[in-house]
Amino acid sequence: MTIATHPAPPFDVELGAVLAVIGEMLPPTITPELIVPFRQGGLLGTPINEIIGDRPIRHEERTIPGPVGAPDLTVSIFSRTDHVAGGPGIYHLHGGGMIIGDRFTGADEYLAWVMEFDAVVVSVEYRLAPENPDPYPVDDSYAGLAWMANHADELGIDVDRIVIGGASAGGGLAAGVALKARDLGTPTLAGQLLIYPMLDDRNETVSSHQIDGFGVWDRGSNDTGWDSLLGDRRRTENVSIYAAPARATDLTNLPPTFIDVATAEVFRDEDVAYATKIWEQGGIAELHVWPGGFHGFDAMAPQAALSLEARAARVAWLHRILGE
Amino acid sequence: MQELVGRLTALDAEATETIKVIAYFDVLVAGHASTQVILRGAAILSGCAAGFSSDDAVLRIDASGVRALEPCTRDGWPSHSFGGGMAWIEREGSAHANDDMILERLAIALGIAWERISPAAATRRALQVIIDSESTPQARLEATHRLRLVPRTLYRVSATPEDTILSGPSVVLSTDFGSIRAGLQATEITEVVEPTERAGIGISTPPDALDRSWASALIALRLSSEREPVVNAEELGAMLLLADATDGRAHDSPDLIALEALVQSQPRAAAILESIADTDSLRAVAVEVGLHHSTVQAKAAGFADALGFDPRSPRGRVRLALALALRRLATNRFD
Repeated sequence: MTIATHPAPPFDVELGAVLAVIGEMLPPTITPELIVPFRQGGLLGTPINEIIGDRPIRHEERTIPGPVGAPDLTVSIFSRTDHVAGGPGIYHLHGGGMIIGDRFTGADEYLAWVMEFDAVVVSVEYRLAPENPDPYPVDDSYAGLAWMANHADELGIDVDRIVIGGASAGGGLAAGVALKARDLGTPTLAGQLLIYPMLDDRNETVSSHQIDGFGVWDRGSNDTGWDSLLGDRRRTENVSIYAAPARATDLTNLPPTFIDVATAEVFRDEDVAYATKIWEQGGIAELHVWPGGFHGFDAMAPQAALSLEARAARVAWLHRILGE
Repeated sequence: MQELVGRLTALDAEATETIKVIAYFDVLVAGHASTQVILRGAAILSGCAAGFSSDDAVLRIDASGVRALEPCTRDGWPSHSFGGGMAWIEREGSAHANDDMILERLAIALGIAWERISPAAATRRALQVIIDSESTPQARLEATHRLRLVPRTLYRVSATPEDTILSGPSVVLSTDFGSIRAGLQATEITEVVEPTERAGIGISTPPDALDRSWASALIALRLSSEREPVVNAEELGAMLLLADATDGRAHDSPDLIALEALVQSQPRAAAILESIADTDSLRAVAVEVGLHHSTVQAKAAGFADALGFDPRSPRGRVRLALALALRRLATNRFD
């Protein structure tokens, strides 16, 4: 096991101040006992209508079939009220360590994409661990994508311009679903947008040791998330590449990939490694590593300078991928 | 945009918002954050646009954290002053619970940052160094360069009440006589303030002796009166030495004690005495103060009794002028 011999890079001054405030409220380590309180907490819980505000965005909830033999799924569909059919689709998977959050987590940012690209965003309510361990979350997530692609005309999107994306656990699920779609041959994705994705159940990188007992989603929290998802299979050979994409040895034939991550977070090294592996295998990947950020920095303080740049980089990539 | 402190409340109702706001700005100050970052902190915490203005600089950050190029659309936002500047947050509608605390901590943090980085603040510090008699020659030389003064050229320092508006560089100093604004002028500038405003104009000196100009300006200001609002130190002659020598020691002068008692008992006496000390004849005094000549003659006789010397005699007029000067030095304050 690799043990960090150096402290983590320092936080950006502005984000350090944000963390000083959050630190009053959020314990750095989410233990199994804290899963339920966190699900009830208000940090992620702004009502969706409040987040939409006065933006001309239509929100439709639909019940769709789940994976074979599994319960139905709820999806939220967001589009501009003046939507023009044939535009891009963005399939969104929310974050929350596989254990918390809902399909509206991250809405502040994906609703901005609805406005910017006239994109139709579909966000799925996949089942959460530990009550619903692997493979339920990634299977639900794949089922939602398949439904979206099969209903492209009805949704008013171009089936050849669907991007999958998500942050944190949502980024990990997006990477897993992209691998599964590649292996099954359908649907075809135009790109994968992996925002500080949670990729590696082993939790053995230098960064996973550096962020321990402070920051946001530290080493202990990551243990809680992966233990909940994988149980006894964690760190064994019995973990699928769809659950932990860092396990994949073949990263060829993936759609163009965007990865961003911050220097002062657990996921730094596994995310950089994922981009590196794609390049090594001749793939297309864009990697941004933001200095002094903590996990989820742009969601906590979207107004901070680093947050603005990080979000602008995602928008710029989407513009290139979606050919606007 | 959401307000960070408001969003976090739901997680822990026990923790006070106040502590969060203080913690936020403390970290920024400790990290030497720029004024823009500090201002954005107010936007992050409050969820609305924020701005500040200071020394002709104006900066606004909108609610999404982006520097706003257009000027503020209206006045009257909740605001808080800091060292010569003003910070505000652009809250629409009624104030939120943390607005006051955010504004207060924003102002404190901006005041600290602004003093560290702004060119105007650096100029103020240089001026403060160059007029301080305790400054080392090296510090004085650096201040000379910062202020772009030319060696062996004459300048002078003015002393005015704090709220006086001057055109050149100036700095407000806390003195025993109140908060006084020290201003630096080229020596050929004759009118530093409007003739009705109070000012002491220091003697002209080269850059390396401006501490003496400041000392003389301060004495000149303390010698100013309604009758003579602007006093030029170069016209004071030996009075400069006298003021310096008697500072803090004149209170037991019998002439000053007698003059003070007279002025306290007869409110109009001060104006008549000033006029007697400053004009050639009692007839001229009568015209100046608007009294009949015989009335002035009677009053002057009474003043002679009260003072213990006759202000109508040449020697008595000198004593009177000195006593009046000592009184102004002792009582003029500019708070």
